Amino acid sequence: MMLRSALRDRSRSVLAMVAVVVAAGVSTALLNLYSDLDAKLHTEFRRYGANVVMSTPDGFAPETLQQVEASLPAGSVAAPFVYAVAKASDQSSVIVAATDFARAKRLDGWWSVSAWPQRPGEALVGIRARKNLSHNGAGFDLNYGGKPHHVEVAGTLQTGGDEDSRVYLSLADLMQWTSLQPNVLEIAVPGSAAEVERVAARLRAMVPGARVEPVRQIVEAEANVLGKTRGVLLGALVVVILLATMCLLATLTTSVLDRRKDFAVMRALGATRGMVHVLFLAEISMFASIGCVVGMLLGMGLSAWIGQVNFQSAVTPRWSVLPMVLAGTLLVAAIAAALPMVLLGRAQPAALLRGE
Amino acid sequence: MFVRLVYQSFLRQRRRKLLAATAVALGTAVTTAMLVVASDIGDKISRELRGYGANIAVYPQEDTLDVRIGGVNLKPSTAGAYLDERELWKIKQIFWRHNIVGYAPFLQVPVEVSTGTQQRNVELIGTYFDKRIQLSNDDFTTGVTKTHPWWRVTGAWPADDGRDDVLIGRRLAATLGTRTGEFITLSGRRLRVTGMLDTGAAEDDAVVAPLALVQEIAGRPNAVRRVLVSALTKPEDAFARRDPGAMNPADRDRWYCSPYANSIAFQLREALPGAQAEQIRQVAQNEGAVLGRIRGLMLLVTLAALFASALAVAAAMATAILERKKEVGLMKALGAPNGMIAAVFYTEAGVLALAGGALGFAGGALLAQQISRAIFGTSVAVQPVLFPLVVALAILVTCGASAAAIRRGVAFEPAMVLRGDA
Repeated sequence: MMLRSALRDRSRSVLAMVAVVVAAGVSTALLNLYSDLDAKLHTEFRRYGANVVMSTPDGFAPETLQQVEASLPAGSVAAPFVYAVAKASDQSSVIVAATDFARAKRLDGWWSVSAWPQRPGEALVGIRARKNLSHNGAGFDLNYGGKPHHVEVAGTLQTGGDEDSRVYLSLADLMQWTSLQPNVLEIAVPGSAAEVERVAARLRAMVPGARVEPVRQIVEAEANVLGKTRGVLLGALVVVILLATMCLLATLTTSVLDRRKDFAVMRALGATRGMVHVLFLAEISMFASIGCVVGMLLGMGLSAWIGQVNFQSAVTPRWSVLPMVLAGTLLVAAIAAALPMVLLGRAQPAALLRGE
Repeated sequence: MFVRLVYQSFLRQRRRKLLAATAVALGTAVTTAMLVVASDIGDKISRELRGYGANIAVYPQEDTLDVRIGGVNLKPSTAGAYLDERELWKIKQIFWRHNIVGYAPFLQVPVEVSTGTQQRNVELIGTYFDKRIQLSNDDFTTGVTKTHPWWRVTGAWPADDGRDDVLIGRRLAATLGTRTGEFITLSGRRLRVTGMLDTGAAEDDAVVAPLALVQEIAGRPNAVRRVLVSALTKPEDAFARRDPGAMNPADRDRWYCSPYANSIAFQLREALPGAQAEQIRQVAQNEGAVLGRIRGLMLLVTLAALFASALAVAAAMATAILERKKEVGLMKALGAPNGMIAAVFYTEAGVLALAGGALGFAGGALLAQQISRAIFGTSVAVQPVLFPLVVALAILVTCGASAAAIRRGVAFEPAMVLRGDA
């Protein structure tokens, strides 16, 4: 009986189905996007580089560094640094820094580098340092504690920050020259301010004597921007879902009201109001469930597509969203079935059949 | 006759028309709200991203190399060149002056600080906190409160024109055991600590004072080592990276008149002779990337919402027309041509779209305003051009959705419909 009713009036069924699919689809897509927004944007924000800096005056032992890196959450990037003040040939001071170039490249994506050093003995020279130290890209000598070191220029580095005045060597070169150990570890941890603070606390406990500080500039601005973005998306989500719900309610109610003649016939044939109500409710619920499942599939697809287009990585499906959407749709369907009942409840079957 | 048909239809079927108009109004409201919010999100987030602080650094061209590790300056104050503090107001006179959110000059000198019991060598940083700059057209306040919004002070900020008040870094205060309101001695001067500074960076180990006081202590009137500028910029693209020197005049004008970090830095170099201005890539480059992502997200969500409202409105309209099969049958039975019936329906749809669209636009603008107020604390400008656009969209969707239903409705055999068989 339900099937026949759906088939008999196909265009009306199709329209109601469209409304259900659209409402469920958009709600699923937006809720899914919203719940994955933090993860997506935290990854974006890691472009700003380190949000935790760990330092110790005496330098980290290689085992400590390994241990620290192994303990970091997935997706973190850490790069060791060490700084020394060397003298150029004109006796002016130059900061010589050493790092693991491969990691620095991943951590500090904004560094504009003409060519990364490939061989031992080659250095990355800041753009201001290059102007002062190297003529036309030729090598130059530096002196640290009476020990000279010859630097070959592999490429220039431009950041607009302190790095522009520095000379970057590989860790091996600097350790051989000055026997200094890395004493700063810059870490980019993906996650909220609280997660960053948790990682910092764990590192503090793990390496006693080291100073571990979240970079407030990065962490606070990130939390702020993220909060605002989340707010806007939430606002949009509420508005859109509210609209979809209201439209769905209107369409379903109309489709039930449309069948007041069926209602009248059934009543005239002796069905109780409750029975007719249950029948309508069952019919509309079945309808809503089918539409909802289709909508949820489409919505998942939509959110995955948005993730792919905008963030170049698919949005992780949040299955917890689905029962919420299904429950919401069924609730709307139940209201849509009950509302006409209230309106039609008192009407005489005869009057309805007459078309009044 | 035609007008009366339409008029009577609205008068007689008030409930149905109200339902359809509500659907159109809701769809338009969502469309408007989303369009307004999405078109404004770039500006809003751009402002929020200024929370990362300065994106342009200005320093003397002839300067020797910076000797800074972890934000601590190791360069003796005798070495290198300085900028002149008296020239800095020109930063607010460049072409993109309205995009300059703030700037803060810095001068660092190593000093010896002593309390009653302890002595320590620390860095003394001079800067503006919230300094009032007199300009010919209007006044402007700037300083670290604008460029370094993550600096937090427990206690009070010192006055910029004061000569006796300083801030003390959180860690330094802990090692010295100094508290807010106490006095420290710095190069023979007794200074009052008005507050404790927490930045999570090198300033936690330093004393921060008004610029004028540090210039006095250093014996270098009007000297500034570098200026950090926070500017609203447009994300960098390939055009922004080109060298203005190698452009033709038209391109150069376009480059100059776009608020890229590079062109603002270029204008700062023009305004301050002898100064070098560079974008701070960590902030400037990533701002564009993050902004692009957020803007893209909102754009796609808006598109999805637009599509959904169009479908929802279409479904509601089509339902409303299919409901009226009997009426169509009656009209046809009375001899109305198909074109006439379609015209009646289209006119009705148009009137509904116009009314619903106008109402929805007003509601949507209000909604966007509420969202903006609640989240960003500022109002949002609703572009007037959106109104015809949104209403046209509403008419298009409504009539488009009605078209299929009208075609079907008109095709019914009157006798069948009236008997209730179709």
